Amino acid sequence: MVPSTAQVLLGRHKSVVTRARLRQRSNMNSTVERPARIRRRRLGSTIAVAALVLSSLALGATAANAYATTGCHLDPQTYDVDSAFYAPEIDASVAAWNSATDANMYASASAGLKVFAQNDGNTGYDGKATWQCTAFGVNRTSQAWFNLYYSYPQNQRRSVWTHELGHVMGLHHSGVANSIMNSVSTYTYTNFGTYTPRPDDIAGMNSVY
Amino acid sequence: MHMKKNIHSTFALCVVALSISLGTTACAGTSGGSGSRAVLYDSLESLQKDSEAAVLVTVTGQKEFAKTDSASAYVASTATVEEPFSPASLGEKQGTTALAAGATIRIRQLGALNDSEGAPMLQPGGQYVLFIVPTEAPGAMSDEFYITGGTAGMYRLDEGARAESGAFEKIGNEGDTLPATITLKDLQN
Repeated sequence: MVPSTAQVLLGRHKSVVTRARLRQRSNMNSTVERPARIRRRRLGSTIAVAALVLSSLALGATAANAYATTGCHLDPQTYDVDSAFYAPEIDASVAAWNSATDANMYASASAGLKVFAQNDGNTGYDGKATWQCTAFGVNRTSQAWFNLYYSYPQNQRRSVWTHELGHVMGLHHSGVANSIMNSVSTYTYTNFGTYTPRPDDIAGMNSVY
Repeated sequence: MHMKKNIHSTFALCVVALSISLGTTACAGTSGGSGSRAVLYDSLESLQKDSEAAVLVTVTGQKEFAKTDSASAYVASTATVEEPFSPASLGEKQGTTALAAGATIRIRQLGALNDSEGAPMLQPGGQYVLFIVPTEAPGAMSDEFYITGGTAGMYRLDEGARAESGAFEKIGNEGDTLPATITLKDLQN
């Protein structure tokens, strides 16, 4: 490093040269240590990234999709409608999942999944789903129902059936606004007319079946 | 040496995190539940508007009721009203128990106590501010209420805090955009 004329005149060139030498020496030292240090850092980063990827896979969510899975899938994929009056709506909701995804639900009187309608009162929920999951992630006993306290038109009821069926099939709520698995089916129906699965729901269901 | 230790602890942390996530997903003999909310609330005012009252309660007991042919499984928590709040914005619905201090009421919550993924349940001994509505469920008694909007109207006092000066924290997150904490003063205005 050549000191500038101004630095020489001001008597600062010595310190500039010393600083430059020190910097050079320090760079040499770090050059010697770099390979080992880099290898360790890379190993740490690789482990952390691998753990993150595996965790997100295990949780059933990916960055590209907002769907999330319960980790519990329906097997066999059978359902039993416990309400003759609402059977056509429920069957239509099942058909919507079957036609749009790789799920293949079919009616069976001995099914572990019961689908029905009843009046639970002013619960704040227009539909509910419950499931019991085995240690192997299989849902063999579950229920999905519409709360008759809420007077909805047919397609809005279908949005609730489709949503609740999505739960017992293995999907959690989705953050996507127009998704059938959005936590408020009234919102998606009113704002987007959703009563059948949308792309995010389809991707989620296809990740389970 | 230090670096090695760091790598080991990072690896151990990753293994623990992975085990937790895998454990959650594996649903080792668990039960779960989820509901579709009819309304989401975006302010205390909108929550109050749909409620019969807000009450400061202490939960004294709890009982589970199994599903019947006409009713879903639910948990009924018995609670003593410490202080009722009925600002003008609260609705006035008829046919329910008078919500005076000292009254005993029952709060119904759909689901079961062992639902690992269900909505949070009231805890015996806990002190809560609850926004409540008459159940309007067939066969329900006049002293039975639901919490407005499922978990929306459910605020719990921190353990050891005093109700008069403490903050009540929002319990549960089903997508409402309500204040994370409220105080009794918020209800007295």
